[in-house]
Amino acid sequence: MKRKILTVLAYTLLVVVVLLLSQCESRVTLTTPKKDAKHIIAMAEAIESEDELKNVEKLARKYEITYRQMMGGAAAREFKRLTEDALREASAVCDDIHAHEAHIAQIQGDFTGKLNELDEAWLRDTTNIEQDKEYISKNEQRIKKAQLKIAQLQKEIMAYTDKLIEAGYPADMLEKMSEMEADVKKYEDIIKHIEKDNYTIALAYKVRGQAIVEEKIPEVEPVAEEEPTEEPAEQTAE
Amino acid sequence: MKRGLMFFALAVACVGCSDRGPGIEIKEEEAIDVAMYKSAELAQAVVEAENIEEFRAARAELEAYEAAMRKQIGGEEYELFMETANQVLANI
Repeated sequence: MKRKILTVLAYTLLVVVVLLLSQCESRVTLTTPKKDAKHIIAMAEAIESEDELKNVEKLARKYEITYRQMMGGAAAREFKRLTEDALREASAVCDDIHAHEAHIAQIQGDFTGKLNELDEAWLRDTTNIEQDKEYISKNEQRIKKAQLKIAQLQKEIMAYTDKLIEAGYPADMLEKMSEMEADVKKYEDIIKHIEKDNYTIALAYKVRGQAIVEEKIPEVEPVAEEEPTEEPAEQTAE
Repeated sequence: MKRGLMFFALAVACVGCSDRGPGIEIKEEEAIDVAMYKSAELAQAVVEAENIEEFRAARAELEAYEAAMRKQIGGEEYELFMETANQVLANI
């Protein structure tokens, strides 16, 4: 019985010690608001990552809370006033680091993406140029069809928007509207996919010093025809 | 004991070698030239490859330099290396 009681007491003591230790770790030792703020400012100035910023912000909050508990609101406010500029600047530094990391990720993505595209182009079979030309031409027709569909859907959306406003945005009409917008997105994705397909085929020939998309040149002609009609119009206006 | 030591030495040697990669070493004073000229030259070789073997070899060399620049130099020189290479690669 005595032994049991001693064991229970020992465990309880152990739990109390662990709890006390954890509390000691989370507390900060206060000196003066100015001195502690100086310490936080020095840490904030050395920040180079988001994790470091979070740690310093956490520590600053701990100081502020402890000041409030031990020395009252005035000391806590003084500490906050002294540190907030440095913490704000550290946060701006972190934003810059983020932007820079995003830029690095983008150029790395472009680099790998381009090399993979070229790899894919080299792996592609280019023994049947006529068949590929026909495939590209069919793809272009599919793109045109999808573009027409998008134009038609956009007209419908515009007309439907007026009805939607008149009806006061009821839920069923809003749902139909988002369905139509989703359809536009679907056709846009189809176009992107087909264009990528055509690009890969063209690239496969290009890396081998051949051109498969020469037929595209006549497509420019209608634009060239339109220009002279515009010029006389301008002249008459003058 | 002796066998254990030999095994340990072998393991250390393996780890040492695996960390070194393909063996490209870029000195700091060379970094700017590598970033500006070598990157363009390597990327040009990728673009001008005449068959898949040449392409793969050129790609491997470009990627080895990219890794060396990233690990050994970093910073603005690494960015310049990547931007120059990307510019050449985009011109195909």
